Amino acid sequence: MKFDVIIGLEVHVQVMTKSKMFCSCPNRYGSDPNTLVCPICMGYPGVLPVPNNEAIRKTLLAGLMCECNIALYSKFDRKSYFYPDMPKNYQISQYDLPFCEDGKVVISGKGLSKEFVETKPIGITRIHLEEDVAKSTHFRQCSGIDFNRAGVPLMEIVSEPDISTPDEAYIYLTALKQIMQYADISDCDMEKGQMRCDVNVSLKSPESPTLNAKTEVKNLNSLKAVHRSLLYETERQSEVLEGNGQLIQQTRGWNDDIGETYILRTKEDAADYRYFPEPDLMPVEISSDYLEKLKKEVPETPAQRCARFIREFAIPEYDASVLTSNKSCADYFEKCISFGSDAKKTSNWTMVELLRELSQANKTFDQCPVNPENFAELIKLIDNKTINGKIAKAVFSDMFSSGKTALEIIDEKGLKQVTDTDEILQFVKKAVESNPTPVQQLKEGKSTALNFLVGQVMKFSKGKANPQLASDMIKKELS
Amino acid sequence: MDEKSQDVDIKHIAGLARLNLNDSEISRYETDINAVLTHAEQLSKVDLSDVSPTAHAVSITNVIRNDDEGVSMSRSNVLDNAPDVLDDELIKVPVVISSNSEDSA
Repeated sequence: MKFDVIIGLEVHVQVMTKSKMFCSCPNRYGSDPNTLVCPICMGYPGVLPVPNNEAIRKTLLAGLMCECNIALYSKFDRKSYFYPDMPKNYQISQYDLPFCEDGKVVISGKGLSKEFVETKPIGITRIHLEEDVAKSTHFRQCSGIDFNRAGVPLMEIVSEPDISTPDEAYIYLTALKQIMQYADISDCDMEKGQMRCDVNVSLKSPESPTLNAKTEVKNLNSLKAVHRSLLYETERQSEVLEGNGQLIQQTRGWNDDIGETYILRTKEDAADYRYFPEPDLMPVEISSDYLEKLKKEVPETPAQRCARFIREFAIPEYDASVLTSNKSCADYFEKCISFGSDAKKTSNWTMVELLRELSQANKTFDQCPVNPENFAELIKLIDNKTINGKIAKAVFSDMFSSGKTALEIIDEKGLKQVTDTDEILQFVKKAVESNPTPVQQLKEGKSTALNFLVGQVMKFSKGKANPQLASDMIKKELS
Repeated sequence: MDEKSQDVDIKHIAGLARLNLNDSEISRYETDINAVLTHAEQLSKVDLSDVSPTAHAVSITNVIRNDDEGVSMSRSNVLDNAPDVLDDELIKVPVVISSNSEDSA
Protein backbone atom coordinates (compact mmCIF):
# COMPACT_ATOMS: atom_id res chain seq x y z
CA MET A 1 0.00 0.00 0.00
CA LYS A 2 1.20 3.50 -0.81
CA PHE A 3 0.90 6.10 1.95
CA ASP A 4 0.84 9.88 1.86
CA VAL A 5 3.82 11.25 3.76
CA ILE A 6 3.35 14.32 5.93
CA ILE A 7 6.51 16.09 7.04
CA GLY A 8 7.06 19.18 9.17
CA LEU A 9 10.46 20.61 10.08
CA GLU A 10 11.77 22.42 13.14
CA VAL A 11 14.98 24.17 12.23
CA HIS A 12 17.31 25.77 14.76
CA VAL A 13 19.54 28.52 13.41
CA GLN A 14 22.19 30.31 15.47
CA VAL A 15 22.03 34.06 14.96
CA MET A 16 25.32 35.73 14.05
CA THR A 17 26.00 38.40 16.67
CA LYS A 18 29.05 39.71 18.52
CA SER A 19 27.69 38.74 21.95
CA LYS A 20 25.37 36.11 23.36
CA MET A 21 21.58 36.43 23.70
CA PHE A 22 21.29 37.58 27.31
CA CYS A 23 24.86 38.45 28.35
CA SER A 24 27.91 40.08 26.79
CA CYS A 25 30.04 36.92 26.46
CA PRO A 26 31.39 36.59 22.90
CA ASN A 27 29.29 34.54 20.49
CA ARG A 28 32.14 32.66 18.86
CA TYR A 29 32.72 29.10 17.61
CA GLY A 30 35.85 27.05 18.21
CA SER A 31 37.29 28.63 21.37
CA ASP A 32 38.71 26.52 24.20
CA PRO A 33 35.91 24.91 26.24
CA ASN A 34 34.36 26.98 29.03
CA THR A 35 36.27 30.17 28.24
CA LEU A 36 33.31 32.17 26.88
CA VAL A 37 31.07 32.04 29.93
CA CYS A 38 29.89 34.29 32.76
CA PRO A 39 27.48 34.03 35.70
CA ILE A 40 24.51 34.79 33.40
CA CYS A 41 25.06 32.07 30.81
CA MET A 42 26.15 29.66 33.57
CA GLY A 43 22.82 30.27 35.25
CA TYR A 44 24.16 31.36 38.63
CA PRO A 45 21.46 32.44 41.09
CA GLY A 46 20.51 36.10 41.24
CA VAL A 47 21.76 37.20 37.83
CA LEU A 48 19.70 39.29 35.43
CA PRO A 49 19.60 38.50 31.71
CA VAL A 50 19.14 41.38 29.21
CA PRO A 51 18.15 40.61 25.58
CA ASN A 52 20.48 41.42 22.69
CA ASN A 53 18.94 44.02 20.38
CA GLU A 54 20.80 42.78 17.30
CA ALA A 55 19.62 39.18 17.79
CA ILE A 56 16.04 40.48 17.87
CA ARG A 57 16.64 42.62 14.77
CA LYS A 58 18.01 39.67 12.82
CA THR A 59 15.14 37.43 13.90
CA LEU A 60 12.65 40.03 12.66
CA LEU A 61 14.62 40.27 9.42
CA ALA A 62 14.42 36.48 9.02
CA GLY A 63 10.68 36.76 9.58
CA LEU A 64 10.30 39.45 6.92
CA MET A 65 12.33 37.41 4.42
CA CYS A 66 10.02 34.45 5.08
CA GLU A 67 6.97 36.69 4.56
CA CYS A 68 5.87 36.37 8.22
CA ASN A 69 3.66 38.68 10.22
CA ILE A 70 5.83 40.49 12.76
CA ALA A 71 4.42 40.69 16.29
CA LEU A 72 4.33 44.26 17.56
CA TYR A 73 4.22 42.84 21.08
CA SER A 74 6.02 39.71 22.15
CA LYS A 75 7.62 38.21 25.22
CA PHE A 76 9.99 35.53 26.47
CA ASP A 77 8.98 32.44 28.47
CA ARG A 78 10.69 29.81 30.56
CA LYS A 79 10.70 26.27 29.25
CA SER A 80 11.46 23.96 32.18
CA TYR A 81 13.44 20.79 31.86
CA PHE A 82 16.26 19.05 33.66
CA TYR A 83 19.43 18.37 31.76
CA PRO A 84 23.04 19.30 32.50
CA ASP A 85 23.28 21.41 29.33
CA MET A 86 21.10 24.03 31.02
CA PRO A 87 21.93 24.53 34.71
CA LYS A 88 19.08 27.00 35.34
CA ASN A 89 16.78 24.00 34.70
CA TYR A 90 14.91 26.14 32.20
CA GLN A 91 15.66 27.54 28.80
CA ILE A 92 14.56 31.08 27.97
CA SER A 93 12.40 30.71 24.87
CA GLN A 94 9.13 32.07 23.49
CA TYR A 95 5.81 30.33 23.92
CA ASP A 96 2.60 32.05 22.89
CA LEU A 97 3.88 35.40 21.59
CA PRO A 98 6.79 34.66 19.19
CA PHE A 99 8.37 37.42 17.12
CA CYS A 100 7.26 36.06 13.73
CA GLU A 101 4.26 34.02 12.62
CA ASP A 102 2.45 32.78 9.56
CA GLY A 103 4.93 33.08 6.70
CA LYS A 104 6.09 30.97 3.79
CA VAL A 105 9.12 29.90 1.80
CA VAL A 106 8.57 29.02 -1.85
CA ILE A 107 10.64 26.05 -2.97
CA SER A 108 11.50 24.56 -6.37
CA GLY A 109 14.41 22.82 -8.02
CA LYS A 110 16.35 19.62 -7.76
CA GLY A 111 16.37 17.51 -4.60
CA LEU A 112 19.17 15.32 -3.33
CA SER A 113 17.93 12.43 -5.50
CA LYS A 114 18.16 14.77 -8.55
CA GLU A 115 14.37 14.59 -8.95
CA PHE A 116 12.87 17.93 -9.98
CA VAL A 117 10.38 19.42 -7.52
CA GLU A 118 7.72 21.78 -8.86
CA THR A 119 7.30 25.22 -7.29
CA LYS A 120 5.52 24.85 -3.97
CA PRO A 121 5.01 27.15 -0.97
CA ILE A 122 5.97 25.72 2.42
CA GLY A 123 4.16 27.49 5.25
CA ILE A 124 6.14 28.87 8.18
CA THR A 125 4.15 28.48 11.40
CA ARG A 126 6.43 30.65 13.51
CA ILE A 127 9.96 31.87 14.15
CA HIS A 128 10.86 32.40 17.77
CA LEU A 129 14.06 33.39 19.54
CA GLU A 130 15.65 31.47 22.38
CA GLU A 131 19.02 30.69 23.91
CA ASP A 132 21.19 27.79 22.77
CA VAL A 133 22.25 25.24 25.37
CA ALA A 134 25.70 23.93 26.33
CA LYS A 135 27.42 21.26 24.28
CA SER A 136 27.61 17.82 25.89
CA THR A 137 30.15 15.22 24.94
CA HIS A 138 29.26 11.72 26.06
CA PHE A 139 31.84 9.26 27.28
CA ARG A 140 31.39 5.72 28.54
CA GLN A 141 31.49 6.61 32.24
CA CYS A 142 30.43 10.26 32.26
CA SER A 143 29.54 13.28 30.17
CA GLY A 144 31.52 16.49 29.74
CA ILE A 145 29.89 19.91 29.36
CA ASP A 146 31.20 22.96 27.50
CA PHE A 147 29.15 26.11 28.18
CA ASN A 148 30.60 28.27 25.39
CA ARG A 149 27.51 27.60 23.28
CA ALA A 150 25.07 28.16 26.16
CA GLY A 151 23.27 31.44 25.64
CA VAL A 152 24.09 31.88 21.94
CA PRO A 153 21.02 33.42 20.25
CA LEU A 154 19.07 30.66 18.53
CA MET A 155 16.07 30.98 16.23
CA GLU A 156 13.61 28.13 15.93
CA ILE A 157 11.85 28.08 12.58
CA VAL A 158 8.80 25.82 12.58
CA SER A 159 7.26 24.80 9.27
CA GLU A 160 3.71 23.72 8.56
CA PRO A 161 3.37 20.00 7.71
CA ASP A 162 3.38 20.96 4.02
CA ILE A 163 6.36 18.84 3.02
CA SER A 164 5.63 15.54 1.26
CA THR A 165 8.99 14.05 0.28
CA PRO A 166 12.60 13.90 1.52
CA ASP A 167 13.57 15.90 -1.59
CA GLU A 168 11.17 18.69 -0.68
CA ALA A 169 12.61 18.77 2.85
CA TYR A 170 16.10 19.00 1.36
CA ILE A 171 15.16 21.87 -0.96
CA TYR A 172 13.30 23.70 1.82
CA LEU A 173 16.35 23.51 4.09
CA THR A 174 18.61 24.69 1.29
CA ALA A 175 16.27 27.62 0.66
CA LEU A 176 16.21 28.55 4.37
CA LYS A 177 19.99 28.38 4.47
CA GLN A 178 20.28 30.69 1.47
CA ILE A 179 17.87 33.20 3.02
CA MET A 180 19.87 33.30 6.25
CA GLN A 181 23.13 33.70 4.35
CA TYR A 182 21.75 36.41 2.04
CA ALA A 183 20.66 38.54 5.00
CA ASP A 184 23.82 37.87 7.07
CA ILE A 185 21.62 36.35 9.76
CA SER A 186 23.67 33.17 10.01
CA ASP A 187 26.33 31.26 8.10
CA CYS A 188 24.24 28.12 8.71
CA ASP A 189 27.35 25.93 8.77
CA MET A 190 25.81 22.63 9.81
CA GLU A 191 29.16 21.10 10.69
CA LYS A 192 29.57 23.83 13.29
CA GLY A 193 26.03 23.28 14.55
CA GLN A 194 24.90 26.69 13.32
CA MET A 195 21.90 25.02 11.72
CA ARG A 196 20.25 21.91 13.19
CA CYS A 197 17.07 20.16 12.30
CA ASP A 198 14.32 18.05 13.88
CA VAL A 199 11.83 16.37 11.56
CA ASN A 200 8.25 15.29 12.25
CA VAL A 201 6.94 12.61 9.97
CA SER A 202 3.67 10.71 9.83
CA LEU A 203 1.87 8.59 7.27
CA LYS A 204 -1.71 8.65 6.11
CA SER A 205 -3.47 6.20 3.87
CA PRO A 206 -5.00 8.08 0.92
CA GLU A 207 -8.51 6.79 1.78
CA SER A 208 -8.38 7.77 5.42
CA PRO A 209 -8.85 11.31 6.74
CA THR A 210 -6.75 10.67 9.86
CA LEU A 211 -3.02 10.68 10.33
CA ASN A 212 -1.17 7.84 11.97
CA ALA A 213 0.90 8.64 15.05
CA LYS A 214 3.89 10.82 14.21
CA THR A 215 7.57 10.32 14.89
CA GLU A 216 9.92 13.15 15.73
CA VAL A 217 13.56 12.56 14.76
CA LYS A 218 15.87 14.90 16.66
CA ASN A 219 19.25 16.49 16.08
CA LEU A 220 19.96 15.94 12.43
CA ASN A 221 23.09 17.84 11.58
CA SER A 222 23.46 17.56 7.83
CA LEU A 223 21.11 17.98 4.88
CA LYS A 224 21.95 14.44 3.86
CA ALA A 225 21.04 13.08 7.30
CA VAL A 226 17.65 14.81 7.04
CA HIS A 227 17.06 13.22 3.66
CA ARG A 228 18.22 9.76 4.74
CA SER A 229 16.35 9.75 8.05
CA LEU A 230 13.11 10.72 6.29
CA LEU A 231 13.54 7.87 3.79
CA TYR A 232 14.27 5.50 6.64
CA GLU A 233 11.30 6.62 8.77
CA THR A 234 8.86 6.50 5.87
CA GLU A 235 9.97 2.97 5.16
CA ARG A 236 9.89 1.91 8.81
CA GLN A 237 6.42 3.31 9.42
CA SER A 238 5.08 1.81 6.18
CA GLU A 239 6.34 -1.61 7.23
CA VAL A 240 4.66 -1.36 10.64
CA LEU A 241 1.34 -0.32 9.06
CA GLU A 242 1.51 -2.91 6.30
CA GLY A 243 2.10 -5.60 8.91
CA ASN A 244 -1.10 -4.36 10.58
CA GLY A 245 0.94 -2.98 13.45
CA GLN A 246 0.13 0.07 15.50
CA LEU A 247 2.35 3.14 15.47
CA ILE A 248 2.78 5.05 18.70
CA GLN A 249 3.84 8.68 18.95
CA GLN A 250 7.53 8.77 19.75
CA THR A 251 10.76 10.70 19.66
CA ARG A 252 13.67 9.05 17.91
CA GLY A 253 17.35 9.72 17.42
CA TRP A 254 19.42 9.24 14.25
CA ASN A 255 22.50 7.08 13.96
CA ASP A 256 24.31 8.42 10.92
CA ASP A 257 26.86 5.59 10.83
CA ILE A 258 24.38 2.78 10.40
CA GLY A 259 21.67 4.95 8.80
CA GLU A 260 18.89 4.08 11.23
CA THR A 261 16.67 5.87 13.71
CA TYR A 262 16.35 4.56 17.27
CA ILE A 263 13.80 5.19 19.97
CA LEU A 264 14.45 7.91 22.59
CA ARG A 265 11.08 8.21 24.29
CA THR A 266 7.38 7.59 23.70
CA LYS A 267 4.39 9.84 24.27
CA GLU A 268 3.79 8.45 27.77
CA ASP A 269 6.99 9.98 29.06
CA ALA A 270 6.84 13.06 26.84
CA ALA A 271 8.42 16.15 28.36
CA ASP A 272 6.15 18.49 30.30
CA TYR A 273 7.81 21.88 29.81
CA ARG A 274 5.52 24.01 32.03
CA TYR A 275 6.03 27.23 30.08
CA PHE A 276 5.39 30.48 31.92
CA PRO A 277 6.32 34.13 31.25
CA GLU A 278 9.97 34.90 32.05
CA PRO A 279 9.69 37.30 35.00
CA ASP A 280 13.26 38.61 34.54
CA LEU A 281 12.60 39.92 31.02
CA MET A 282 10.24 42.68 29.97
CA PRO A 283 8.04 42.20 26.90
CA VAL A 284 9.35 43.57 23.60
CA GLU A 285 7.34 46.15 21.69
CA ILE A 286 8.15 46.85 18.06
CA SER A 287 7.12 50.30 16.87
CA SER A 288 5.63 50.62 13.40
CA ASP A 289 8.41 53.12 12.60
CA TYR A 290 11.06 50.57 13.46
CA LEU A 291 9.27 47.90 11.45
CA GLU A 292 9.07 50.19 8.42
CA LYS A 293 12.78 50.93 8.72
CA LEU A 294 13.51 47.22 8.96
CA LYS A 295 11.44 46.43 5.88
CA LYS A 296 13.73 48.73 3.90
CA GLU A 297 16.74 46.74 5.11
CA VAL A 298 15.38 43.44 3.79
CA PRO A 299 17.80 42.30 1.11
CA GLU A 300 16.85 40.71 -2.19
CA THR A 301 15.93 37.07 -1.52
CA PRO A 302 17.68 34.28 -3.46
CA ALA A 303 14.45 33.66 -5.40
CA GLN A 304 14.16 37.35 -6.34
CA ARG A 305 17.79 37.48 -7.39
CA CYS A 306 17.38 34.34 -9.50
CA ALA A 307 14.41 35.92 -11.31
CA ARG A 308 16.36 39.15 -11.85
CA PHE A 309 19.37 37.26 -13.31
CA ILE A 310 17.09 35.57 -15.86
CA ARG A 311 15.47 38.90 -16.74
CA GLU A 312 18.50 41.17 -16.71
CA PHE A 313 21.22 38.91 -18.10
CA ALA A 314 19.09 36.62 -20.28
CA ILE A 315 20.68 33.46 -18.87
CA PRO A 316 18.77 30.15 -18.56
CA GLU A 317 16.82 29.42 -15.37
CA TYR A 318 19.17 26.57 -14.53
CA ASP A 319 22.21 28.88 -14.66
CA ALA A 320 20.48 31.54 -12.59
CA SER A 321 19.48 29.07 -9.88
CA VAL A 322 22.99 27.60 -9.64
CA LEU A 323 24.63 31.04 -9.52
CA THR A 324 22.23 32.45 -6.90
CA SER A 325 22.28 29.35 -4.70
CA ASN A 326 25.33 30.82 -3.01
CA LYS A 327 25.35 34.55 -2.25
CA SER A 328 29.07 35.05 -2.79
CA CYS A 329 28.87 33.17 -6.09
CA ALA A 330 26.06 35.46 -7.25
CA ASP A 331 28.04 38.50 -6.08
CA TYR A 332 31.12 37.29 -7.98
CA PHE A 333 29.15 36.68 -11.17
CA GLU A 334 27.50 40.09 -11.05
CA LYS A 335 30.84 41.79 -10.49
CA CYS A 336 32.25 40.06 -13.60
CA ILE A 337 29.34 41.26 -15.69
CA SER A 338 29.97 44.81 -14.48
CA PHE A 339 33.45 44.50 -16.07
CA GLY A 340 31.78 43.81 -19.38
CA SER A 341 32.10 40.05 -19.94
CA ASP A 342 29.37 38.20 -21.82
CA ALA A 343 26.71 36.92 -19.39
CA LYS A 344 26.14 33.41 -20.77
CA LYS A 345 29.88 32.74 -21.20
CA THR A 346 30.62 34.08 -17.73
CA SER A 347 27.88 31.88 -16.34
CA ASN A 348 29.33 28.76 -18.05
CA TRP A 349 32.83 29.56 -16.91
CA THR A 350 31.70 30.25 -13.35
CA MET A 351 29.61 27.08 -13.06
CA VAL A 352 32.19 24.76 -14.63
CA GLU A 353 35.78 25.99 -14.44
CA LEU A 354 35.61 28.31 -11.46
CA LEU A 355 33.48 26.07 -9.25
CA ARG A 356 35.73 23.12 -10.07
CA GLU A 357 38.96 24.94 -9.23
CA LEU A 358 37.42 26.30 -6.02
CA SER A 359 36.22 22.90 -4.88
CA GLN A 360 39.54 21.25 -5.74
CA ALA A 361 41.41 23.91 -3.77
CA ASN A 362 38.75 23.74 -1.02
CA LYS A 363 38.30 27.52 -1.22
CA THR A 364 35.28 29.81 -1.01
CA PHE A 365 34.48 32.63 -3.44
CA ASP A 366 35.81 35.12 -0.92
CA GLN A 367 39.18 33.34 -1.02
CA CYS A 368 39.27 33.03 -4.82
CA PRO A 369 42.77 33.91 -6.11
CA VAL A 370 41.29 35.22 -9.39
CA ASN A 371 39.31 38.41 -8.85
CA PRO A 372 36.16 39.16 -10.89
CA GLU A 373 37.94 41.78 -13.01
CA ASN A 374 40.61 39.31 -14.17
CA PHE A 375 38.04 36.56 -14.67
CA ALA A 376 35.99 38.89 -16.85
CA GLU A 377 39.13 39.80 -18.82
CA LEU A 378 39.84 36.13 -19.54
CA ILE A 379 36.34 35.68 -20.94
CA LYS A 380 36.68 38.81 -23.06
CA LEU A 381 39.96 37.42 -24.47
CA ILE A 382 38.08 34.33 -25.64
CA ASP A 383 35.34 36.48 -27.11
CA ASN A 384 37.72 38.64 -29.13
CA LYS A 385 39.56 35.48 -30.26
CA THR A 386 42.88 36.32 -28.62
CA ILE A 387 42.90 32.77 -27.27
CA ASN A 388 40.67 29.79 -28.00
CA GLY A 389 38.53 28.04 -25.41
CA LYS A 390 40.85 25.13 -24.89
CA ILE A 391 43.89 27.27 -24.20
CA ALA A 392 41.75 29.51 -22.01
CA LYS A 393 41.13 26.55 -19.69
CA ALA A 394 44.86 26.04 -19.24
CA VAL A 395 45.37 29.79 -18.78
CA PHE A 396 42.65 29.87 -16.15
CA SER A 397 44.19 26.99 -14.23
CA ASP A 398 47.44 28.90 -14.28
CA MET A 399 45.73 32.12 -13.15
CA PHE A 400 44.15 30.24 -10.27
CA SER A 401 47.40 28.77 -9.01
CA SER A 402 49.75 31.70 -9.74
CA GLY A 403 47.43 34.68 -9.22
CA LYS A 404 48.72 36.21 -12.48
CA THR A 405 46.41 37.87 -15.00
CA ALA A 406 45.38 36.15 -18.22
CA LEU A 407 47.34 38.61 -20.38
CA GLU A 408 50.53 38.07 -18.37
CA ILE A 409 50.28 34.31 -18.84
CA ILE A 410 49.42 34.55 -22.53
CA ASP A 411 52.41 36.85 -23.15
CA GLU A 412 54.82 34.75 -21.09
CA LYS A 413 53.89 31.50 -22.78
CA GLY A 414 53.17 32.85 -26.24
CA LEU A 415 49.67 31.42 -26.25
CA LYS A 416 48.09 34.00 -28.48
CA GLN A 417 45.72 32.35 -30.93
CA VAL A 418 46.99 32.15 -34.48
CA THR A 419 44.52 33.87 -36.77
CA ASP A 420 47.05 34.59 -39.48
CA THR A 421 45.74 32.59 -42.44
CA ASP A 422 49.19 32.09 -44.03
CA GLU A 423 50.48 30.49 -40.87
CA ILE A 424 47.43 28.25 -40.47
CA LEU A 425 47.56 27.26 -44.14
CA GLN A 426 50.96 25.64 -43.52
CA PHE A 427 49.46 23.48 -40.81
CA VAL A 428 46.45 22.65 -42.98
CA LYS A 429 48.66 21.51 -45.85
CA LYS A 430 50.73 19.40 -43.52
CA ALA A 431 47.59 17.78 -42.06
CA VAL A 432 46.13 17.02 -45.48
CA GLU A 433 49.38 15.57 -46.85
CA SER A 434 50.06 13.28 -43.91
CA ASN A 435 46.50 11.90 -43.59
CA PRO A 436 45.31 10.57 -46.96
CA THR A 437 42.66 8.24 -45.52
CA PRO A 438 40.69 10.83 -43.54
CA VAL A 439 41.00 13.20 -46.49
CA GLN A 440 39.42 10.57 -48.72
CA GLN A 441 36.69 9.94 -46.13
CA LEU A 442 35.94 13.64 -45.89
CA LYS A 443 35.63 13.86 -49.65
CA GLU A 444 33.09 11.02 -49.42
CA GLY A 445 31.07 13.11 -46.98
CA LYS A 446 32.13 11.65 -43.63
CA SER A 447 32.04 14.71 -41.36
CA THR A 448 33.88 13.12 -38.42
CA ALA A 449 36.97 13.07 -40.62
CA LEU A 450 36.88 16.86 -40.62
CA ASN A 451 37.09 16.91 -36.81
CA PHE A 452 40.12 14.65 -37.02
CA LEU A 453 41.88 16.94 -39.49
CA VAL A 454 41.08 20.05 -37.41
CA GLY A 455 42.55 18.19 -34.47
CA GLN A 456 45.72 17.59 -36.46
CA VAL A 457 45.98 21.32 -37.29
CA MET A 458 45.51 22.14 -33.61
CA LYS A 459 48.24 19.66 -32.75
CA PHE A 460 50.70 21.11 -35.25
CA SER A 461 49.94 24.64 -34.04
CA LYS A 462 50.33 23.57 -30.40
CA GLY A 463 46.69 24.43 -29.78
CA LYS A 464 47.02 28.00 -30.90
CA ALA A 465 45.19 27.90 -34.22
CA ASN A 466 41.67 29.26 -34.34
CA PRO A 467 39.71 26.00 -34.81
CA GLN A 468 36.89 27.61 -36.79
CA LEU A 469 39.36 29.15 -39.19
CA ALA A 470 41.24 25.84 -39.51
CA SER A 471 38.01 24.01 -40.32
CA ASP A 472 37.04 26.52 -43.00
CA MET A 473 40.47 26.35 -44.56
CA ILE A 474 40.55 22.52 -44.69
CA LYS A 475 37.24 22.51 -46.52
CA LYS A 476 38.53 25.15 -48.91
CA GLU A 477 41.79 23.25 -49.46
CA LEU A 478 39.91 20.06 -50.44
CA SER A 479 37.26 21.67 -52.60
CA MET B 1 -8.88 26.08 53.48
CA ASP B 2 -9.29 22.35 53.87
CA GLU B 3 -11.66 22.21 50.97
CA LYS B 4 -10.16 20.19 48.12
CA SER B 5 -10.60 22.32 45.01
CA GLN B 6 -8.90 20.01 42.50
CA ASP B 7 -7.33 16.65 42.37
CA VAL B 8 -3.65 17.47 42.41
CA ASP B 9 -1.22 14.70 41.60
CA ILE B 10 1.53 15.66 44.02
CA LYS B 11 3.70 12.74 42.97
CA HIS B 12 3.61 13.94 39.36
CA ILE B 13 4.42 17.54 40.29
CA ALA B 14 7.21 16.41 42.59
CA GLY B 15 8.56 14.25 39.80
CA LEU B 16 8.67 17.23 37.44
CA ALA B 17 10.63 19.17 40.04
CA ARG B 18 12.88 16.16 40.70
CA LEU B 19 11.74 15.99 44.34
CA ASN B 20 11.58 12.72 46.23
CA LEU B 21 8.76 13.01 48.78
CA ASN B 22 7.74 10.58 51.51
CA ASP B 23 4.09 9.82 52.30
CA SER B 24 3.69 12.41 55.04
CA GLU B 25 5.25 15.10 52.82
CA ILE B 26 2.92 14.14 50.00
CA SER B 27 -0.15 14.56 52.15
CA ARG B 28 1.16 17.86 53.57
CA TYR B 29 1.83 19.30 50.10
CA GLU B 30 -1.52 18.05 48.89
CA THR B 31 -3.17 20.24 51.51
CA ASP B 32 -0.88 23.20 50.86
CA ILE B 33 -1.08 23.17 47.10
CA ASN B 34 -4.82 22.73 47.14
CA ALA B 35 -5.06 25.76 49.40
CA VAL B 36 -3.02 27.78 46.91
CA LEU B 37 -5.25 26.63 44.07
CA THR B 38 -8.41 27.43 45.99
CA HIS B 39 -7.06 30.90 46.63
CA ALA B 40 -6.18 31.36 42.97
CA GLU B 41 -9.61 30.13 41.97
CA GLN B 42 -11.19 33.12 43.65
CA LEU B 43 -9.41 35.33 41.13
CA SER B 44 -11.20 33.63 38.26
CA LYS B 45 -14.47 35.00 39.65
CA VAL B 46 -13.40 38.60 39.04
CA ASP B 47 -15.06 40.15 36.01
CA LEU B 48 -12.24 41.03 33.59
CA SER B 49 -14.28 41.59 30.46
CA ASP B 50 -13.09 45.23 30.24
CA VAL B 51 -9.45 44.47 30.95
CA SER B 52 -7.01 43.68 28.15
CA PRO B 53 -4.68 40.74 28.72
CA THR B 54 -1.20 41.41 30.00
CA ALA B 55 1.92 39.34 29.43
CA HIS B 56 3.88 40.62 32.38
CA ALA B 57 3.29 41.91 35.90
CA VAL B 58 5.43 44.98 35.26
CA SER B 59 4.26 47.44 32.62
CA ILE B 60 7.69 48.26 31.22
CA THR B 61 8.79 47.09 27.77
CA ASN B 62 12.01 46.96 25.74
CA VAL B 63 14.68 46.59 28.37
CA ILE B 64 17.31 45.56 25.85
CA ARG B 65 21.02 46.04 25.30
CA ASN B 66 23.28 46.76 22.33
CA ASP B 67 25.26 43.89 20.86
CA ASP B 68 28.55 44.72 22.58
CA GLU B 69 31.10 42.07 23.45
CA GLY B 70 32.26 41.99 27.07
CA VAL B 71 34.74 40.01 29.11
CA SER B 72 34.05 36.45 30.24
CA MET B 73 35.15 34.75 33.44
CA SER B 74 38.46 32.93 33.61
CA ARG B 75 38.11 29.22 33.07
CA SER B 76 39.69 28.39 36.40
CA ASN B 77 36.95 30.41 38.15
CA VAL B 78 34.29 28.62 36.15
CA LEU B 79 35.68 25.18 36.92
CA ASP B 80 36.20 26.03 40.61
CA ASN B 81 32.43 26.18 40.92
CA ALA B 82 31.87 22.84 39.21
CA PRO B 83 31.38 19.67 41.27
CA ASP B 84 33.79 17.75 39.06
CA VAL B 85 36.03 18.48 36.10
CA LEU B 86 37.28 16.56 33.06
CA ASP B 87 40.71 17.22 31.50
CA ASP B 88 40.82 20.63 33.19
CA GLU B 89 38.39 21.98 30.62
CA LEU B 90 34.97 20.31 30.72
CA ILE B 91 32.48 20.10 33.56
CA LYS B 92 32.02 16.45 34.43
CA VAL B 93 28.52 15.10 35.00
CA PRO B 94 27.11 11.60 35.33
CA VAL B 95 26.13 9.82 32.10
CA VAL B 96 22.78 11.21 31.09
CA ILE B 97 21.75 8.94 28.26
CA SER B 98 23.48 5.93 26.86
CA SER B 99 22.77 6.80 23.23
CA ASN B 100 24.83 9.05 21.01
CA SER B 101 22.24 11.81 21.08
CA GLU B 102 23.76 15.14 21.93
CA ASP B 103 21.20 17.60 23.23
CA SER B 104 17.99 17.55 25.09
CA ALA B 105 15.77 20.45 24.07
